[in-house]
Amino acid sequence: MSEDLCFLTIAEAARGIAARDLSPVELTEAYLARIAAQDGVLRSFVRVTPEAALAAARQAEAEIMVGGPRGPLHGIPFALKDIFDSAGLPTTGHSARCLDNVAAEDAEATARLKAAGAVPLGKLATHEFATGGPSWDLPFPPARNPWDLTRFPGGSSSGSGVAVAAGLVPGAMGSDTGGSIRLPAAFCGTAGRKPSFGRVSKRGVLPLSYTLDNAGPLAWTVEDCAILLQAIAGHDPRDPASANVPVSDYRAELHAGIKGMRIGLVRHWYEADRRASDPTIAAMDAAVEVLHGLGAEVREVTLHPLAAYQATMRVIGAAESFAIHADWLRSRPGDYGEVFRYRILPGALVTGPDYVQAQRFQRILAAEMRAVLGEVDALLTATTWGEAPVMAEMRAEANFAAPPLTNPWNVAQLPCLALCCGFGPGGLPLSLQFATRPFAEALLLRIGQAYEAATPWRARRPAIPAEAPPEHPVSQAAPRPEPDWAAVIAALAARASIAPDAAQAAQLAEAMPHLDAMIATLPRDLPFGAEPANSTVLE
Amino acid sequence: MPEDLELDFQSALRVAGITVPEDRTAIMLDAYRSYRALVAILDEPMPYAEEPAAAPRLAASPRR
Repeated sequence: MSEDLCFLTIAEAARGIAARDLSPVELTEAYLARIAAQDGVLRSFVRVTPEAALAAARQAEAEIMVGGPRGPLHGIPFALKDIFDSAGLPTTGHSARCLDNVAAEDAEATARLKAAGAVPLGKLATHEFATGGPSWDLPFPPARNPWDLTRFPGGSSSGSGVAVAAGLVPGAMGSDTGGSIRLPAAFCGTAGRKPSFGRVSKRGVLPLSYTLDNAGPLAWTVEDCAILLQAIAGHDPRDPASANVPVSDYRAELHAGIKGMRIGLVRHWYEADRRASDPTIAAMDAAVEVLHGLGAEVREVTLHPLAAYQATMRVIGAAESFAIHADWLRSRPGDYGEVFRYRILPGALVTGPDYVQAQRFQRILAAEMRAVLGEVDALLTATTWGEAPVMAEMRAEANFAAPPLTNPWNVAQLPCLALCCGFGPGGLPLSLQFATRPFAEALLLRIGQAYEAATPWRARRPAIPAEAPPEHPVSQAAPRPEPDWAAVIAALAARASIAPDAAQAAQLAEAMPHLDAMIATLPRDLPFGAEPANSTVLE
Repeated sequence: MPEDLELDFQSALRVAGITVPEDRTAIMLDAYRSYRALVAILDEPMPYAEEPAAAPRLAASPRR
C-alpha cells in the first residue's frame, strides 16, 4: 500500500489530502521508506532529511486538519537539486569545493515551495556545479538511470530525473542552462519544464551562466509541472534577472485542448542538421499524428541550423562559467572534478570580442524564433538523439562535438516543455519538446497536457533492480598534443593566468579546437545596430 | 600578471589576429602592461550572487 502512494501524481495526492483520505505524514513516510529501499542503487539523493521532512509533514497535517490545505502542494513531498539553497543545509553543487557551504537562508524557489506547504525530502545529485557528465572523482557518485542502471540518466539535474521517475519523490527542482532539466526528463521519462528566462527566481541557486540559467521543475505529469511552476513563478526583486510579469493560472485552461492550434515542427534539426535514431524519428512522426488527431495543424518551419545555437550557447556559457569559477580554478583546481575542469577551462581562452559577438548573435537567433512564433502557437522538436547512452562510454569531448537539441530554447530564452513520447528498442524513454512565446507558460502546459492525455506513456514506470551493476569509471585522459599546439595552449593558458598540469593541458588542447570551431561560426559582419542580448536595462 | 609579459603580448596579438608594426611594438607593449594592471583589478574574488549589470531582460510577448 505504501509503495502505491509513491506513484500518485501530485494532483492525485493533493485531492486525497484535501478529502482527508490521505495523510501528509503517511505520504512522507512512504517516500522515505522507498528512498531507503531503492536509492542505494539509484544514488539520486546526496542528502536525505527525514527528521525535517517528518516535522514539516506533521505541521502540514495539523494545519490541514484545522483549516484545510492552502493549495495543491500542502503536505506534498519535494526535493531539490543540490545547487538550491535550503537554510541550514550545505549546498554542495556535488563538489568537494562546497561541502561546507551551509546556506544561511532558503533560495527563493525553496522558500516559495515551503510557503506552499510542500515537504522537503532532501538534496539531489547533480553534475558538478550543474555541468559536465557522470563523474567518479567527486564526493558523491553519479546517479543511475532507473530504466537501465548502466545508462546515463541525463544531466545536470540527474538526481531530479531519477528520483521522479523511480517514484522516490513526486516533484523536484532542477536547473537548465543548455538542457539540464529536459535531458534528465528525456532520459528518465519524466516531464521537465524550463520556464521563460526570468519567470522563476534564481536567487540562492549556484550559477553556471548568468544569462542562460533557468530554475524549473521535473515531475511525472504535465499537471504536476503546472502545480510546481505555479508555486515558484513570480517576480523576485532580489534577483536581478527576475521578470516583473504577472503570473497567470496555469491550470485554468489546462484541459481546454488544442483544436485549431498551429504547431511548427522543426524537423530539420533532428533529421538534416544531424540525424536522430530511427526510433526517435518514428516517435516524432507518431507525435505529429497525435497532434493532428487532436485537431492541431502541424506545419514544418525552418530556423537557423542547430549548430548556430550550440556555438552561441557554448561560447557564452564557457566564458560566464569560467568567470564565475576563475579565482578558485586558478588557485585550487584540484578541488574540482576532472569533467568540470575539462568543460570549464576552455572558457578561460574565450576572448571578450568573441563573447560579445555570441551575445549579439543570441539576440538575432531569439528574434528569428519569436518572429516564427508570430505565425504558429508553439514549436516542436525532439529532445535527444535517441535513448540514453551507456555511461561507461561517455567522454567529455563528445559533449563539445554533438549539438544538443535543447540549446535553442536557452539561447532564445523561451519556455520549453520536455515530455516522454514513447520508448526505444532498449526499453528506455524517448522525448519531445514543445516551446512557445515568452511567458506563455499556460499555453505550453495546455499543449503538453493534450498530448500527454492522448498517449499511453504515463502508464509505464521503471522496475528498479535490487543489485547495482559493476562500476566503470570513464577516463577523461586526453592524448598528448603535438608540440606546436601544446606551445600555443601553454601561451594562451599563461595569458589567462591558469596553470594546468600536463593532463589538464592535454585536455585543454583536445577541447579547444571544438570551441574554436564554434567561435569561427559566429558571424563577424553584423550591422552596428545589432546589440547584444544582454544589453543593460535600467529600472 | 604573467612573468613574461612580452610573450603574453605576442599571444594576445595572435589570438586577436593583429600584427603590430615593429616600430610600434615597444609603445604597444607598454600600453598592454597598463591594460593588464587594470584587468588584475577585475580578478578580485566575488561571491556567486554578484550578477553582471547586463542581466538579460525578456519582454513578454503581446500575444500571451
